[in-house]
Amino acid sequence: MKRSILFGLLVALTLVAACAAPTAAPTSAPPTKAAVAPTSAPAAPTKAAATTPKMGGTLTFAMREDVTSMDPLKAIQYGDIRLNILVAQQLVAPDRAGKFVGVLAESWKTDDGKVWAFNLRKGVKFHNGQEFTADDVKFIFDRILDEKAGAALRSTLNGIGLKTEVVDKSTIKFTITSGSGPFLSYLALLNRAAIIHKSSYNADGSVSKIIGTGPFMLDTAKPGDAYTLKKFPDYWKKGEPYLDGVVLKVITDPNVRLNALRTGDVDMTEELPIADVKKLVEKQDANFQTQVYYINSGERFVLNTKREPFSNKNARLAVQAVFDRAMYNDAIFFGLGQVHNQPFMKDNLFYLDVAMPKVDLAKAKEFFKAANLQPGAKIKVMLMASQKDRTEVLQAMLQQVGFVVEFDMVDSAAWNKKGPAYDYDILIGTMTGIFDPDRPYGYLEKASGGNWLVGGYDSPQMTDLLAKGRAETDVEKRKAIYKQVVQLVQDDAATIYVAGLPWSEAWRNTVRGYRPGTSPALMMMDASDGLNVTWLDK
Amino acid sequence: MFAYLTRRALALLPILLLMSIFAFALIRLVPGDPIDVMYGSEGMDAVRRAALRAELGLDDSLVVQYVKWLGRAIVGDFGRSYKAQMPVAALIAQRLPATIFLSLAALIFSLVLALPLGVIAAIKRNTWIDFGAMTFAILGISLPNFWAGIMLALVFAVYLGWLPSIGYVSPMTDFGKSLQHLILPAITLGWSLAGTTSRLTRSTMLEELGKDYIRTARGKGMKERAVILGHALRNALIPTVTMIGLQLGFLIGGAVVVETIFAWPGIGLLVVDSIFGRDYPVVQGVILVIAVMVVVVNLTVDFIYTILDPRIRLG
Repeated sequence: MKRSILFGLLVALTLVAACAAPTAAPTSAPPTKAAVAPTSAPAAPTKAAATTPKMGGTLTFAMREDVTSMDPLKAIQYGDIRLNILVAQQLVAPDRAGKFVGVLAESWKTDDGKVWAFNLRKGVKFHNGQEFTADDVKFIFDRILDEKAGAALRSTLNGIGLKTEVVDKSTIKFTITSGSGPFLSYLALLNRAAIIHKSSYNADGSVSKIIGTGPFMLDTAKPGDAYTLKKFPDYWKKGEPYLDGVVLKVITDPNVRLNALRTGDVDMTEELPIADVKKLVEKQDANFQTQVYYINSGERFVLNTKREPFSNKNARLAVQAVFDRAMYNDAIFFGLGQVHNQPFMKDNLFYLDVAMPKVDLAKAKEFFKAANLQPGAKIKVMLMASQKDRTEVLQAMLQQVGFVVEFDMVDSAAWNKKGPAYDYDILIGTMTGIFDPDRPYGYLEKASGGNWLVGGYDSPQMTDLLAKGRAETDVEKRKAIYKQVVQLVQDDAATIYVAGLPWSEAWRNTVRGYRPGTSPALMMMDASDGLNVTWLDK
Repeated sequence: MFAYLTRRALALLPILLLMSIFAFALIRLVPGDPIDVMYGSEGMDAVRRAALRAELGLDDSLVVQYVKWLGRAIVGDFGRSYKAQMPVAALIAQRLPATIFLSLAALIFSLVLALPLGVIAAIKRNTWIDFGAMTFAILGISLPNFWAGIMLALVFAVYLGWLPSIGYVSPMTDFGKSLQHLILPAITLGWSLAGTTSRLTRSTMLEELGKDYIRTARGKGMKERAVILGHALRNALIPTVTMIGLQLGFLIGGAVVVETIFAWPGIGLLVVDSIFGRDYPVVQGVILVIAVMVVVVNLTVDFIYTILDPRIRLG
């Protein structure tokens, strides 16, 4: 009798647990093909949006990682960019078509690609009430070039010989010795040249509060918890923003972000669990909408050319020949990624007509043999813990050829330590902020500070092509040059571009006027739309 | 009593010193350093790296770094967070109240649940009440708290909508709201402790109830309630209080899973983020603070012994 009651209790508890449907975790087995084909443009909202914005309200956004640097010049992580894009702005930025437009600059001209004169936007104020002038631009660019400041763009701008000169209050002149082609993209790279007021900097060079020109001002910062932004009433785009404030709440677990969105504890979120994204895109929730969007970005497999086996081109070609991008996309991204061989969206002008290598196991084995490798050749793949779902797919693919894969799972600090030390055979990398081909391909020369990001690949032919690409300003000529670059990348299997990443954002139906941008940020860097034109219909 | 406590506190100083050395050394054994985190994968030239190492004091020898840090830590200056760019002490002060609030709530929940359950289970030994109580206890011990937390959030927050799924509100700001946000994380964290405590309480109660003095008390006609609560429980609580003291240390520093599930900004999550971020001053500061808190808790436990059992004389 007592045992039967106990048994009954256990059954009852199990039933209760089963009724609460668990959040689905991605499975390691490749799913069937996606029913929804990914598009390069965001899907239209399922409900008709109210056309008249309502002023007021505070929107809470759940972001997946914390801010690591308040200083836009040092912004590395996505959390940094999510915050500083709302608060600080650059001179120029790409629009949705990828064309560079003025933000804090109204116009610019250059006759020779070496001297650039920018006319600055008038009537722009910083959050402390100070007027934005050319002196502020010079301050920032001098700071970027200052060795002690630790700015991310330093080596790039130093490499092109950048000099900054104030012509008058509203005109700034840049002089460069090289890099004419991608110059505007350097100025627009992930807000790393954002113009903030010099009083943002403490005596020790740190930034506790960003004083920018953006539609929102930083109010409070609680690292690891939340960042509160308030509307900037003197924003230069009159009438914006519509919201009174934004709260960026740090929630690192994707399932927790999804729950918080369901309960309404947050209004918007990013990067939901990929398996849930697929389900939600196929059948939208009644209370919120989920969108998958694509930007120039990609996951790539980097082969270490500095040591065996991948110092041997045949070994690299073996991996390239067996790598099944479609299968990888199905297994890892549930079919939501955009299979590619270049880290651009297919409708981007720099997605060039270079055929993708076909999967050919027989050829892969030939290359493996030609590399004098024996079956069971061990290789080490370095990946982050968040990429652990890649292990089974990689093992299965590379085993066919004869490789035995060991995995070195690291965190980002160890990744940044072991990477430059070339302590890997393959590493899995991702890249965003791509608006110019020099950004991803520029690493493919030995002199690049990020050459380790492409396995130390070194080729005189590639170096020559990249120099030409940087010097050329005519778009069609640049396309022709970079087409050769992409072909050479494949011929040498320098790095394997796999798929464009499926970025996901979701927001409750009370959030109106928002659409995802062209970078992992909450506002277009060209200030056209994003949270600055979002409102709450509550 | 005071002399005893002072002697115990002084005796714990070497332990704190050892903890500080462990905290300092272990984080530096992990590959990668703060500069690797700050400058990400975009590459950094040697000049910039060297300048930054000097600025952060990382180019000193390890011994010099440790001595400098310890000298400041003794006076409460734990240095500055590399990531947050604010004093570590301020960062800890920002996060500690949330942890203490959650830990105390979890402890109160577990005690309110566990002590009566354990006592009743012992009194009603081998009845369905006993089985039910112990099943509940075993579930608390064996269910992983990340699963329990997610399930509780799904049921009570997502499906029923009774409680919020995330976040922390300070009780100073809005007590009612803070309690609403506290319930699910406190239950998640406290359930496991409740399970252990109730099983231990049941076990020690059974032991006490079998002793001669209990038979004597009953033989003298004492009311059963007085026998159970006034005599047996009081003695049964001594090992339980010891265990609670040890568990409280875990609650304070080890609630990172619960903090992640409920986006609760406590020091557990702070120290884990700091480890991944190689934020050395924060890791060292938090570990030292947790060590001091555990020491204080254990001293408090010693004091409570004397209340529970006057035969125990401290010193």
